[in-house]
Parts: sequence; structure tokens; C-alpha cells
Amino acid sequence: MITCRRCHAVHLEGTLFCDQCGSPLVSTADEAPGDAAPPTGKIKSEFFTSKEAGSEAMVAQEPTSAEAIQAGAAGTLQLTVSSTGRIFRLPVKGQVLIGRRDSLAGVFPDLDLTPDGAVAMGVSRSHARITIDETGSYVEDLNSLNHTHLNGERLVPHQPRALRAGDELQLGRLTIRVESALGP
Amino acid sequence: MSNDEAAAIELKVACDKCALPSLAEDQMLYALAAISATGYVPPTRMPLNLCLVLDHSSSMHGEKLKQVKESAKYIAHQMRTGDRLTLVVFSDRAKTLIVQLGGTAAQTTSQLIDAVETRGGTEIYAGLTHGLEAARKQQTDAFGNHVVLLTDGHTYGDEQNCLEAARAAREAGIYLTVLGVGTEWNDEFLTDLATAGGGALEYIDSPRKIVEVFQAHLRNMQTIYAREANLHVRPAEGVRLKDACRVSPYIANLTREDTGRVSFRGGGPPRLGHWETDLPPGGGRSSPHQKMAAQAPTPMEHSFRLGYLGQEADQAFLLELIVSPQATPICRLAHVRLDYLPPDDGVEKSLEAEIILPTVTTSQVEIDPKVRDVVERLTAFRLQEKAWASAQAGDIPQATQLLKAASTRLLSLGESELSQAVFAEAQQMERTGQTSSIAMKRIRYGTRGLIPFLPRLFSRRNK
Repeated sequence: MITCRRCHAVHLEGTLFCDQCGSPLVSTADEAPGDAAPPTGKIKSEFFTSKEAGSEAMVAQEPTSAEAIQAGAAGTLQLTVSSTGRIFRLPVKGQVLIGRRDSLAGVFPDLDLTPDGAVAMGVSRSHARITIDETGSYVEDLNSLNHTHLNGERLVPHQPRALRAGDELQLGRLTIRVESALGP
Repeated sequence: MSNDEAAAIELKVACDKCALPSLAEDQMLYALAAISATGYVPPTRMPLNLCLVLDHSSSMHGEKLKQVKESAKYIAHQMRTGDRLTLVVFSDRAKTLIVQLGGTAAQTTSQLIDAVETRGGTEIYAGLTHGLEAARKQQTDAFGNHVVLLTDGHTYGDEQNCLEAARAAREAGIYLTVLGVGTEWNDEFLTDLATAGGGALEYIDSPRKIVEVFQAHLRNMQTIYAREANLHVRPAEGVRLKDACRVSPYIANLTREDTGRVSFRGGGPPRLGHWETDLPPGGGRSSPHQKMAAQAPTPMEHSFRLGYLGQEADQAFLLELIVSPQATPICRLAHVRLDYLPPDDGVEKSLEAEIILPTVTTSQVEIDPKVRDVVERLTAFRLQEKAWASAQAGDIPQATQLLKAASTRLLSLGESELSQAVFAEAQQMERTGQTSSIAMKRIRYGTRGLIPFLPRLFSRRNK
């Protein structure tokens, strides 16, 4: 059984989306604590396998600067990029800049979404920022071109909103799930 | 998995996984069955017996009637040798305007069409029966027989008669396609009418699109490669078909062939092509699946009536299968079969595909991105459908939540314009407690036509 992180509806294993709230579902068997990237040796789909799918699987395993955050003190939340399955653990305290790397422009986000197809998905170089302090975690849109959505609601630029496990972030067209790093 | 190379008509099935994780519990498997005939060249062209039934009531005044006239003239000039065209106009009365035999548009055709003016109210039954009768007069087995009804309004008191007339015509081999123009037409009734008539319902939000829509439907009718098509799904032992839905060229429930072999829950008539599991309304928080397993129908063949298939519109269907724990390393999960009559032949043909997957001990089976994409689009469609149902039941908070969830999915799919429209409607509903029929049609018919890439599946061979 899979329990939807957002609305707690129960679904059969293998169900892809919650029919109550639409959230993407992930089998609990896929979420071993500490997973930084999808496991290697995955079985690939036999039919209609696209080139893009193969390349996504490859880039998903590339290390990024944000994964370095995991080496530090791990917090209670983690972010999962829905399309590639990449997982990023947020730190206990501090700020995480989310966007896409552009060395010419001197932008080096903590969480670089370039390997997740950030350009095609409309992610800005400096798209959003997550701030974590003793009161909680907050997400703030940095006046991005294609906006940041939290659970379907467009964020007003530079107005931080509380972030909780079960939330869904949308940066342009890229979906990121906010999950508890401590397991369900 | 199976195809008929000689005829270049293909039936293919792709699953969301290429292997089945070995689990001690039931699991969901999605299978996308697609039919295509892009390379098919018919040995002979099937002539068309087409009747256009056009609303010219007062509400059609202005641009709408102008575009309808242009469409009628276009179609009259596109008829080929051997085709038969009948043009019926209706308001609160109906009359046959033109009967064009042999395919050549007479010189007077354009003049007759131009002379049509708006008048009176809308009585769909008057127009529909007149049109169906006109099509029946010209009907033979050698023709593809179609009635296309275009209206912008409601009809009052004769809905049931319309449905029965459409059903009877469908049984007699005449297909009914319904085009709703503008925002005033009765969505539910016309959906039922098109379903009863074995054809499509199309929403035309702008008069400027009327000609384009007529052209597309005409092209599809002129390139029919299969008629009386039926899709059969036979799950293997330990597998149940939870749902089956058309996902291309647009999302719609399938019309179930009444074989008497599929059991339905509840006392009322089932929704066509859809049978419910025993999941409770709240999403099944308390062990719903044991209950489902206990009450689910035993394995049997499920049959769906597809009607005619044209080359302009590739067909695809999403099958949701519930698979019980499997003991064998290779599992035969379901058999899919398409039966149809070729346009020029009365001998039934079949295409078959088998869903066979190996079982694996790992749970890390990659999901096919294209099947996942289809499931996500269907999820968005179903969420907004649930939202309208909630709104109709007076549960506005639930409806707005569902619309926001649909908006999130649409955004994830890259449908940002539609996503914004859905979100705006959710906010509007939150503020006013009301639904907008215009927004509802735009969202419903926007989300149901969200599967634009399926033809590309066939250009990419398995490697």
C-alpha cells in the first residue's frame, strides 16, 4: 500500500498519482533513508523507451553542489525532483538557493537543477530560496520568470511561505516534492 | 506487441513498467493500448453518406451562423465522386435544404446556404430526427454513414427522445457526431447524445474555429480504416481491470458492449465503460483493497465499442489493471484484442496483443515516462471532473481544492495557460461560491484533449 503524503489516502502499490489530491505517489519501498540518487542498475522500460528517459536516468546520478549539503548536519526535510527522483536533504539551518548554474553570469545555486532539465522546464538561474531556522522552513520566490508555485498556488515574489512535509513545489514546470527526511 | 504489417494497422500495448515487482499484496499496472493506421492505404475508398444538421436558431446570429455557412460550403465542395451530402437546418422546425448526390456541389448550393437566416428557438429533436431520417434514406452498406449535429443551445423536454433516436441510428449503422458552439449548450446532454450516437462531442469555443473543426472531422470520416470496431480486454487469473478509458484523440469513457459478463456495483445504471471498485469515497483509508478483492468480478472479457476509426485520429486507451501476487517468473496478465470490419469488406478482422511481464525481486522498476505522462494527464482530467461534481453537490471547498490539485498537475505537464485558467476558476469559486459554465466547458474540454503526442509513439520502434 502507498499512503499519499499530502492527503493520506491509501492506494495500491504501483499507483502513480493520488486520485484524491493528484499528488505523485512514491512507493515507500523506493525511499530508503539517505538515498541521494535513484539506485543504479534500474530496469528500463521495454516499450516506447525514449532517449530522454535514458539521459534523465544518467544525469540523475551526477553529483551536484547541493548534495554537499547532505554531508553537513541533515535537517528534517528533503526535496525530491519528481521527474528524475533526485533527493536533496535540507540542512538544519541556513539558506538554500535553488536554480540553475550559469558560470558566465556567476550564478552557482546550492541546488542546481540543470541535470533535471532546468532550462527546458523554465527554471530561472536564481529561482527560489529556502530558509531554514529554528521556527521552521520557508520558501521564497526570487522574482523568477516562470514563477514558483506551492501546492498549486503561485507565490508572490519575495514573500516567504512556510514549507512542510507533503508540500509540492513547482519551479516553472519542474515539480519538487517536500518530504520528511525521517521517513513516513 | 502485435500488428498486421500487411494492412499497416497496428495494435500496440505499452505498460508503465517492463517488469512486475514481486509483492505480497495487490499492485497497480497501467497499460496503454494504442491503435494506429498511419501507413494504411485503403484498397478502395469508402464513399461517404453525410448529413449535416445545423442549428440556425436566433442565438446563432452573427459570426456563428456566418462560420457555419462557410463550413457547409466547404464540405459541399469537398465531397467526392460517389459521396452523398444532405444539409438539414433546424430551429424549432427542421427542413432539408440540400440533397447533393454524386459528389459535385451544384451551383445553387452556395446560394441556398447563403440564404439561411436565424430564426426561432432550439429544438434539437426536430433537427436530429429529420437529419437521421435523411441519412437513412441515402444509407447503404457501401457507405460510411454519418450525421454531424451542430448546435449552440439547450433543448427542453425532448432529451430522452433524442438519446433514443441516436441509439437507434447507431444500431442501424449511422454514427452521430455532435459539435457544441459557444457556451450555452447543455454539456451533459450533448455528451450523452454523442456517446449514444457512437461519435464524438467537440467543444468549439470560438466561431472562428468552426470551419477548422468541420475540416478535421471530414478528413477523419474520409480516411476510415475500420468500422464496427470493438476493443476486448481479457485479464488473466489474478488480474482485474479496474478501469478503461480512451485517452486519444481525447479523454472519454468507453462505451461498454453489453455482454452481461461484467458485474457492476450499485443498483443504478453504470456509467458507460466505467465500473467502480469498492474504494470508499474518502480514498480508502481503512483497508479498502481487501474489500475490493472480495467483491471484484472474476476474470472475464470486457468489451468496449469503439465505432469507426479514421486515420486522422490515432486511438489510445489506458487500462488500469490490479494485479494480485504472482507466483510465476513470467506472468501473462491480460489479452487485448481489436475486432473490426474493413471499410470495403464485411469479413471481421482481429488484431491481438498480450501483456506479458517478468517478475523481479527489486522494487526499483523504472516507470515509462510516456505512460506516466498519460496517467498524469488523465489524473488532471479526473480531478477537474470531480471538482465539478463536488461543486454541483454544493461542496465548494472540496471543489476548489480539487481544481487547485488539477492546476498543479497541469503546471507539471507544461500546460501553464490551462493551469492558470483552472487556478483562476478555483479562486473565483472560492470567492463567489459559484461555478462558471464558460470556465467549466473550457477546462473540461481543454483537459480532455491533452494527449497530443501519441502518434509519435508509433514512429519510435522498440529497440
